[in-house]
Amino acid sequence: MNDTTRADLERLQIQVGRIIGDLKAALDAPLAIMASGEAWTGNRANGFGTSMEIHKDVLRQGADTIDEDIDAAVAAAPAEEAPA
Amino acid sequence: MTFSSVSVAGLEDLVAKLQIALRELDDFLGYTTERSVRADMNRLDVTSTGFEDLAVVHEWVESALRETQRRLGLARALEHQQPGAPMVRLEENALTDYDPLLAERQGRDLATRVKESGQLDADMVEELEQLAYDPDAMAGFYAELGPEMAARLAASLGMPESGVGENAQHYLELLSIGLATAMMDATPPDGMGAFSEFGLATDDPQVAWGRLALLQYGDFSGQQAFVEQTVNGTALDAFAAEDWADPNNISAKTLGDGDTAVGLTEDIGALAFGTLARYPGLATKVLSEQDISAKEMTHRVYAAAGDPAQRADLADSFGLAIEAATGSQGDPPSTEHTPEQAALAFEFITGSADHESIPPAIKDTTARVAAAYVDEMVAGSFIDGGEMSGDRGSSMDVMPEDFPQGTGLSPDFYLSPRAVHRFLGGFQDQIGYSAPFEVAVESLYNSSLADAIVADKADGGNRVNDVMSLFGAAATLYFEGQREFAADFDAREQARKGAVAKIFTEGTGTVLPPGVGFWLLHQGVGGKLDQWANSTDTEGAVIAENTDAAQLRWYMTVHAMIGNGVGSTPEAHVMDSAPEAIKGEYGELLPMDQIYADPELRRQFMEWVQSVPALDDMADAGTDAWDSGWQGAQTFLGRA
Repeated sequence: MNDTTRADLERLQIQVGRIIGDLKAALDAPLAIMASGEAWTGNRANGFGTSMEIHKDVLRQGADTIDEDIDAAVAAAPAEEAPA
Repeated sequence: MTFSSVSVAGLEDLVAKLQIALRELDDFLGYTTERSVRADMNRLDVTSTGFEDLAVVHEWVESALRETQRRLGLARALEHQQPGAPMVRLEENALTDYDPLLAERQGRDLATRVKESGQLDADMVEELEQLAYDPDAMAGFYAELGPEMAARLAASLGMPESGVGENAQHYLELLSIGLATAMMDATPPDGMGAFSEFGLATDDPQVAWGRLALLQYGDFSGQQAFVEQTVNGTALDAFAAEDWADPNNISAKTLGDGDTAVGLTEDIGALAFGTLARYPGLATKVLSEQDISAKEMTHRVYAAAGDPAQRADLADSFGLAIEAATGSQGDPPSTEHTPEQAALAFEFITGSADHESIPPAIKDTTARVAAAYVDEMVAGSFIDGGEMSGDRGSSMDVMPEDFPQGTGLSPDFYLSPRAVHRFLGGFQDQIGYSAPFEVAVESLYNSSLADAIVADKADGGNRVNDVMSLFGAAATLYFEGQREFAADFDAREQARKGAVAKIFTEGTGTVLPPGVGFWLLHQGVGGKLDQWANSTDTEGAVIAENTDAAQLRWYMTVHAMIGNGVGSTPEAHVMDSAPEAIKGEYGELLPMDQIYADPELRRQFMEWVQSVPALDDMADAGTDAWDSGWQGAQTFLGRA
């Protein structure tokens, strides 16, 4: 871990923490539109909606993994001594 | 065969939301941005398998976006076929599933075959029918075909020797619809930009005609700038040029020497004006922004169309464009107009009134414009005072001296009595032309009189007399114009006599057929009904023996006054004092036919009105004012 400090990792953790929620919800609005039935309906649309649901789960899973990996990196970094 | 229901607005929203999702994924993955969460993590030597999941989702969203955009494009084109439907029906087939680039490729391939063959054959048309509402495919088709070839292809279909016989119009319709569809493509391919060439001048009549023909069937309402550039660049700029009458001017040229094979005019100038008639807002803009005024344009059209008719199609199409541009479309034509519409109408009316006779093909237009601008026709009938009364010019903004206020008229401009007389006379050839104006003026008369009665009752004003005088003058200008110009004057008089006689014999009530009430009013001065109702039939005799038109007009005025509360108080209605014999079931005044068909009822009615000063004074004064207006206009015309 070259010159990386725990402080760098904590900043990354905060930065990602601010936007990870948006990433997880990225397909919520399109799903809501499909569910409303006001954009596209029919068998083909049903298949499209189902596929979107599946990819929403994949997205959430990927986002959680990234979140956990950053948390793990922070936890593994040695605590820094307070300046004298 | 399966179908989807799709909504343009809904799919636009879905596309927008998927694009946001794609950007949010990219903020992490860094496919198109330098800065990303993955890059930041890499710099800190942190890795995550989660990005593999995100990559899968990103790929799916990209594909979903293409799929949605494709359907959005198709939905936009279909929406024009199913106007007003919240969702449109879309067939799900192999073509619908195409990637947009593949659809474009298919269109390009078809265009290549058309170019190589130089014409459309049945197989190509069959494919064109499948693609005509596919923006991706049609954009590819036209991008490959190019603007000149597209115009020449359209022109070839217009020529009788095209070889496709009765299919020519159908083929041209497909090409036109396809071009409108291509213009809807949100991501136009290379080559489509070249169609700005349609806005450039050309001296080739085939190219000019073909460009304009391509605008005749498809819905270009979303591409009005393109339409504007095409009609101006191809024809109207030339029509506005000094050499407009030169046979070599492109706007004066034709596709061939005779009728086209597709039912469109062969006259290039006419086809340009006809295009504008399809888009009223654009017509107003284009005709307002020409290098010459609409008045000069009118002079040129009348000179070119002439009488005997030469370029009749030019007059007809120009008229349709004028109706659209001045807000005179609809049945009945609207009397509410924007300042731009009114300014054009002023130019057109005063330009037309400069001509003693107008091209026959435009008479239906002048009649509709007169109906749409009925307030202006009546206001322009005002005979102002002075040594040369009524001898004023028309003005967009200067009100004639002593113009009466409070008459309820809301003219956008002030015509001269001479212009009104000439313009109204211009469309008197057939009763069918004059009917819309007569209906409009009768309606305006009824509402103006009612409003004036109510206002005068409240403050003792003089509005009723002003209204009666104005309409008396308008009736003169109209009636005399009719006598002067109507080819079927006698026939229409007979028709109206019959309508009035029917009321008397069949008791259809006071509701006269539209327009006949105004006719009856302007018959009032200048002769008794027995001068025209001298037929031997019973109906005519009934009228002739019992009444004259001035009395009928008097009845109509009194009836309007009673209806608007003249002589009534909160405690008692004026009809309370009327003899029972002239009252109906609910205490209302009996219809005109019943009262005037019976000498005793007529006597009781007149005696009663004379006993009610509020009614008698106002009705007499109004009748005098009508006569005054009538006489003033007669004097003006006699001097003119």
